[in-house]
Amino acid sequence: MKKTKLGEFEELVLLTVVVLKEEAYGVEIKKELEDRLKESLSVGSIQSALKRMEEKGFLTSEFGEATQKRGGKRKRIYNATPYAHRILGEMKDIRAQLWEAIPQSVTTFTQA
Amino acid sequence: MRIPNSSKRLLKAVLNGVYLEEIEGDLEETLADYREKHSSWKASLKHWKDIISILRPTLIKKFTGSHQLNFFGMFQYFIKISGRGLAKNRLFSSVSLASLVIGLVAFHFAFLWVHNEQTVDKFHQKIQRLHFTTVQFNPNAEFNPLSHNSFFNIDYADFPEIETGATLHVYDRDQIKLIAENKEHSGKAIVTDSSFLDILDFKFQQGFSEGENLLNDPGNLLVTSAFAKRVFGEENPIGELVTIKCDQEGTYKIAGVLEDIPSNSSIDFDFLIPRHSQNRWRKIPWDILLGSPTLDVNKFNQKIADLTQENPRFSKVVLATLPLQSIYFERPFEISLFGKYGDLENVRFMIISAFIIFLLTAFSFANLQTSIQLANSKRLGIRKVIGASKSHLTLEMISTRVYYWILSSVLTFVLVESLFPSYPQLFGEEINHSWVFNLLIIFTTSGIAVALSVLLSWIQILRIKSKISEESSAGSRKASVVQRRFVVLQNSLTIVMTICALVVYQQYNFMMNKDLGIDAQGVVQVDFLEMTSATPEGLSVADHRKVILDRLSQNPQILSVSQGNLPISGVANTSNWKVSASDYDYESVNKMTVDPGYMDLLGLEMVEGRFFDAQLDERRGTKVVINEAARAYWGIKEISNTRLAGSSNGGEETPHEIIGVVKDYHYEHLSLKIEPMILLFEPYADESFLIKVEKTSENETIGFLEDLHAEINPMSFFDYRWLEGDISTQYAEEKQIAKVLFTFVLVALVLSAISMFTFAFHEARRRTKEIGIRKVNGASSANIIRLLTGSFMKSVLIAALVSVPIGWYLIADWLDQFANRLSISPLVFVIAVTLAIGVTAVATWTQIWRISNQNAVDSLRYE
Repeated sequence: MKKTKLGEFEELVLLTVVVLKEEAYGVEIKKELEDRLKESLSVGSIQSALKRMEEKGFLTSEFGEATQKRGGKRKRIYNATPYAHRILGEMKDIRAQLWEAIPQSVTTFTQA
Repeated sequence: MRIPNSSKRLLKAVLNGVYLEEIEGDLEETLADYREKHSSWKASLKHWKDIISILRPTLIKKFTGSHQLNFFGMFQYFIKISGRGLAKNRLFSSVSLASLVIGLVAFHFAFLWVHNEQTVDKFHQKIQRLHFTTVQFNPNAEFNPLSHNSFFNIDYADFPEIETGATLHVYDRDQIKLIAENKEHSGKAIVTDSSFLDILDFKFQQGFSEGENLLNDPGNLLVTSAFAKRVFGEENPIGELVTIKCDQEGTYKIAGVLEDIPSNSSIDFDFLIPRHSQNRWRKIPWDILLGSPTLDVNKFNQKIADLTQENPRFSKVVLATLPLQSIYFERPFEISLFGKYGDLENVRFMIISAFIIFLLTAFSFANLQTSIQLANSKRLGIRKVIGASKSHLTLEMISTRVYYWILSSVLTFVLVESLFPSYPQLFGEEINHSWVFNLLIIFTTSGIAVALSVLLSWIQILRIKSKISEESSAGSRKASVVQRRFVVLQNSLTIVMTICALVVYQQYNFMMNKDLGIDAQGVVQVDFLEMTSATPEGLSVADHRKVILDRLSQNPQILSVSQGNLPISGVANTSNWKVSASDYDYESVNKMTVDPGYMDLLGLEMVEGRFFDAQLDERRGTKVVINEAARAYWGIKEISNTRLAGSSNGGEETPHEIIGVVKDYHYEHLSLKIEPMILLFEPYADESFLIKVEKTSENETIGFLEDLHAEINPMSFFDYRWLEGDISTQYAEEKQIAKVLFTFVLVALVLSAISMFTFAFHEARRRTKEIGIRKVNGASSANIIRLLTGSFMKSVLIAALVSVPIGWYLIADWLDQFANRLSISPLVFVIAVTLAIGVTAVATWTQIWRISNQNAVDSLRYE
């Protein structure tokens, strides 16, 4: 993992971006995450996570279409970089290894 | 479905421009979603929540680029300019800061003292409803504290006005012992009911659980944490078994530890004992009653006044209550329940001193700031010319002062905290303090001082003319007038303080050196027979007494021995006496018990008749010795044919013969005049011994007394008091005031010197050209020195004229509380004024010298 500094919430947002592909813009990411986490999120928290990750090089973005509903404002579509994919993969591996290292009895207990 | 304009504007103002379109679009879309799902107001509420969530560092504008032109930039600019100003005027900036800090530290200490006095007992939440029961036994007697419940069997539980009450017996530090791990410790105990802790708010440190009163269990004992530390060290005291010994004995378990008694508590104690744990506590019981919130004290006092009078024995007894919170300052009686009493006169005195110090500080600071500002008047003029408005100049000035405010507060705080350990040295007692409270008060007071200076400078800014030519001449003349007024004011206050300090010190010295009419040197009091129950082998008190007297008489270093009362404040009892077979009523006079050795021991003189004599008189006989004041009081011409009757000494049936009149001597604080007193030869056998020892071998003799004490009381510890020490502690209060005042005077003088120096510095600068012209016209250096000195001294002399009457009024007022006061000598005023002149001379000398010796050519070229 070294010095990637990907926070837990950021990781969730990043994964959502990967999942949503071309649909990955602010409001859609927010809705998707709200559905999955079953809690409401603020625009600011999503936006600041996105901007931070863009600065760190996990995301790139470009303007998309404008809609009536957005008051004629363009969407900004986010895209995960290859670097982000690699980091996500690494993190998944580390997690998997850790889960394997836990004795069976504890795992079943926590998974129940 | 548009988002409101207000939020749009806000976003535009704060949001990083790059993100604006996207985030606005997102907000627009979410708001539309909200409106589909929620009612309109809930949607807009959620919308605003989102807006607020956007205000975070990653999303808002950075302060870069053209910030110089916005409000923030302007503020930054002011900070820079004022910082430069401070650095440029380094001398005056640091002097300003120093005078502010010195003054604030002095003020803060005085403030803490006053605050502590004024919050005494206020931490008891029900203090307004607490009342102390008192009794007047006959119309002549005073109201003295006494339990109505234990003494007259009056149960206030039957009274709707009274919610509850606590009866208490107090055993002072030399009257009770607590034995833990086979070691004795002396402490002050309050024996009381469990309601004590309900009506008074002494907080628990350990052992407290909600809804449980630890005094309910007769086997429990509660200690304060300081006492616990003294007895058990760092060990946990909870659960330890201890034995207490006074007129009762018992074993108790320590069930709780109370926090230390706060410094603003009048009641103090080391441990609490449940009253119902023993039956016969012999110390006089007192009651504290908790009135209902609607209690009318006057009506209640009327209602209870005659409750006892049905009983023929108590037909003249009047009952009353006294608000507990009035006792601290009014001191209607002195009882051992209260660890200390206050003095409103002293509080008032300290408030005035603190107020003067604060004014001095504020003036001195304002004065210094004014001079810095005037030194810069040219720069300000130029700034006005190039377009700075008054509000700009004001803002700039304020931001400079904010620097001072923060810097001085922090410095004062650091100084106060580091000087705190020496607080008791100056004020004579420990004080509770919290650094948060200190910080808050310091920021407030320095804020007020700085704000005052801001106000004065602001007035000056309003006056600054925009034309530079007009400004530099007219402005500085005005400045000199303003500064002169400040200097006069400051000098007046300093002189007033000096006068007060000198007189208080003189009065203290006067009292310390006044001939009391007794020879207190080398007199020590030892209580050999304090705990008769603890004496071994079943010897009687009288036997012990004989042994002690025998042993004392064998020691050549012991000059005389007596059993009797110490001649210090609070020792004399009052008792009712009258001239037998006369029309007089019984009157309350002071009474002391003595034995025949008393006169020699204290070096008393007789003016008439003789003192008690071991051969001629017997203990508890019907003979008395009176003092001159008593003789004058009753107008007794011939003592041989006058008899005195004491209401509690047999009354008219057993008239007492007056065998002698002793020359008046001071047996109380010198603020009181010598009251009539009756001496009776009736000390109890176990009364404390007064022993006069040879001054040269004090330590050796104390060692001898300690051994003898250990022999008589093997279980107890040795304790002794020097009469001289006790007398000087009576005047500790006056000594404290003198000490504090002298410290304040020192601070005031330093502040005055600083102001004077600044004044001289600017005067010298302003008058440089004038002096040059004078010199060209033939004035010598000596002429110039005389001229300038005269101009500075004029301020001091005006100040003296103003302050001497004020000082005289204040100090005469203070001295009036002393029956034995010195007359104010004019020398005090001379010294105070001379001191002010001296300080002025020292502070202005260098400037006067420099300018008067300057070459006239240089002065004239000076710009």
